[in-house]
Amino acid sequence: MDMTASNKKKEKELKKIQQREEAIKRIKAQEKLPFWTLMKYKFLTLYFAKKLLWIIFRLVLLIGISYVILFPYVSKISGSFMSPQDFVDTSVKLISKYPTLDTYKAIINDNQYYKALFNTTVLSGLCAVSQMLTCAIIGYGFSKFKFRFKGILFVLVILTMIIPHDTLQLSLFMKFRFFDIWGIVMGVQKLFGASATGIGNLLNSYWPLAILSLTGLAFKNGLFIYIMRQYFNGVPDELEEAAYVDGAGVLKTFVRIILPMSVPMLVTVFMFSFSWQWSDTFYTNLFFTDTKTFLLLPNIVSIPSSLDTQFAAKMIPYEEAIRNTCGLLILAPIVLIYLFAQRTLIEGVERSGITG
Amino acid sequence: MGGVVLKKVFKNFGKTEVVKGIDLEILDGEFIVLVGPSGCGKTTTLRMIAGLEEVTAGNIFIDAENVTDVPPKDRDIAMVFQNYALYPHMTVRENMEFALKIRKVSRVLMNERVAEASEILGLTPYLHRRPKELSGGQRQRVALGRAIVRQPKVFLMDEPLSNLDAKLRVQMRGELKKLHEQLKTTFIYVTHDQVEAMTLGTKIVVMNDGIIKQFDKPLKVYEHPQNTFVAGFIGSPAMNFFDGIIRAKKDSYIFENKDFALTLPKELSTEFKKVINKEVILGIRPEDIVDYGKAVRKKYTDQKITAKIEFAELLGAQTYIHVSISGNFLAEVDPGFEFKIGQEIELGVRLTKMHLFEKSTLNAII
Ligand SMILES: Nc1ncnc2c1ncn2[C@@H]1O[C@H](COP(=O)(O)OP(=O)(O)OP(=O)(O)O)[C@@H](O)[C@H]1O
Ligand SMILES: [Mg+2]
Repeated sequence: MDMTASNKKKEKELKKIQQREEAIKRIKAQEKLPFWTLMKYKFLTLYFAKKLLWIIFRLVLLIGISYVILFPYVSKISGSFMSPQDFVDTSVKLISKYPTLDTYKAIINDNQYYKALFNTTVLSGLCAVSQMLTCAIIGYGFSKFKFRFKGILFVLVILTMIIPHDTLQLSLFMKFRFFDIWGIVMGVQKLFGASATGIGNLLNSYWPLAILSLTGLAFKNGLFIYIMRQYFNGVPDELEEAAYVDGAGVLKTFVRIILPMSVPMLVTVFMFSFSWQWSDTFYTNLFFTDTKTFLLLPNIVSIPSSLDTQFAAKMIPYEEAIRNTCGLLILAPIVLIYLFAQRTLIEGVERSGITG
Repeated sequence: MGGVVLKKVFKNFGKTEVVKGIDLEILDGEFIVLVGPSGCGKTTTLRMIAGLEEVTAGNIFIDAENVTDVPPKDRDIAMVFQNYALYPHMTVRENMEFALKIRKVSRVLMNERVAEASEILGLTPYLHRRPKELSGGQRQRVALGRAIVRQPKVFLMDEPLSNLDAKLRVQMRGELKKLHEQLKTTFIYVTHDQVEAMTLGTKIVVMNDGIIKQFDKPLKVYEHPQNTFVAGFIGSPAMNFFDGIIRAKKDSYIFENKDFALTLPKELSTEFKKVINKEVILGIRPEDIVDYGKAVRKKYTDQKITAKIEFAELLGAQTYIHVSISGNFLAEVDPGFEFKIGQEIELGVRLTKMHLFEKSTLNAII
């Protein structure tokens, strides 16, 4: 009932609009009526007022939301180009009067930005690639194969998503400080009378993150496995069967059919994993106890020595601007990558039905 | 190329028996069509031949080799799936080449075969496109092409035409038939469309409930159905069945029930002797029940059945009338024939085309 009523209403309105348009047309064709009458027909109507109101409402809403979301970034970006004088000058709000690139230069040179960038890229890239492949394989297994305890195992995977990783801090630390595989190596060492240390201390190397990534246990990997499983569930079995009939085994089918057609999904997982690893402080602080392995987040957020001597310590806003610039420099590469991968990423997120 | 033999093949899914002991011998180069109602196990049978489904019991031979435990990739068969199952990230050419690449066929030979197959199927203009960018019929042909380039021992096809519109289906049917004549490979083709079955198959297998009901040439299946199931399933509109009894009267035999009695043709007497006074089912196709005038003209019979016309289907080329005595049945009259709904009509039965089934076993007597 409701539907038909609203439909009728819509139809009525449509008819009205049509009539008005026809009137305008007729009037134009005759060209007898004076200009102002024409204008009256066009603009002094309820329809036009409604439309105008809606446009204004939309505009206000958009501007408001944009302000809330975008303003912090805009102010940080503009702050990063300011020189110390700008912070003294009270007439400067958003646009610098004495623009300079000194802040960037100082951070890049003094804080060894490029070295940190390189190391972090390598680490995040390695983690992301291995997590992507591992989670794809595990998800594929859960989706397409029957084996015993599948249900229980999947519940365990979900559990890794639920347990807050902070609670694992100490056990993770100890695990990699005195690393061993179920005490096997230590046992062998004891057998031969060597000092029983197991495989030993893996901290301050890429190993802990590599091991976690390759076994699908790193940050949020439960989620990735889940995403991949959901995706593979949607891939019709006939596709694999067609490949089997075409002469491919399970492995060939996975590598040559399933992986290539899952690219959007893989890119999504890669991007999530990459950006999380990129902005992660939990694992990097935990596993890199010294600063020899130079990574972005722990290491470049500090006041560069060349700026320190001048004002920074005394002028809070300036110091804040410098730190914000560090933040921008950390964010910039990720934003760039997201821009590049945007299309595939959106496709992937849509397919997975999962956001963030 | 090769023949396919199934020996006492069973398939259970958990506790439900789906295929219940199939024996089938398919010769090299035959075009076999599996027909049957939905859920009778056609797809399952086909998938077992392909190796995509394990056999619960029994053996499958391809080209005289026992392949029961051979994985699908080593069976040298090609399969066309109902939903095509084209690789979405590959172009048409890559789709067709995939199997050859896996088999490490040389580039030259590969190009040759793809060119040949796409020529046969009219796919040459689309070789660089992806499946997404093709129409249903074109996808269908790519799926066929993917099978053809393989030059396998056996083609397996699971309702490949069911997603096409009527016109395209007729056209593809013709192309499949041509293809079979060209390639002379064994085809095993699943469908539940009996027109497809009759026109395509060199032999057809009628299945029901996991059992083969008849395995014969199409015309043979139509003219001599071995049981009531096949009789009722093959042919459209379906055959009419009348319950009754055979009685001997002087030197002739009579089929009798509460509505009518028919004196049966003398030529078939030896058959009737076996079922005297037994309950039987008489089967007559609608086209063999015509108006009495025509029946006499054509010398079908001189016996009348009177029935009431319930309603009619005018199809243009012929008219089917639904008539009733105590039960309903279908008769065919010429398009020009004049009648009124509710009127009584005199009908003649062409008894030389009759079918007779034993009531107890439902198997054919003649
Ligand atoms: N994987 C499975 N698990 C359990 N039962 C199944 C499975 N596959 C098929 N079946 C059952 O087996 C029976 C036969 O299925 P099948 O797909 O072979 O039928 P079909 O003859 O191909 O029917 P259609 O004409 O509808 O395709 C059906 O009753 C179906 O429910
Ligand atoms: Mg089927």
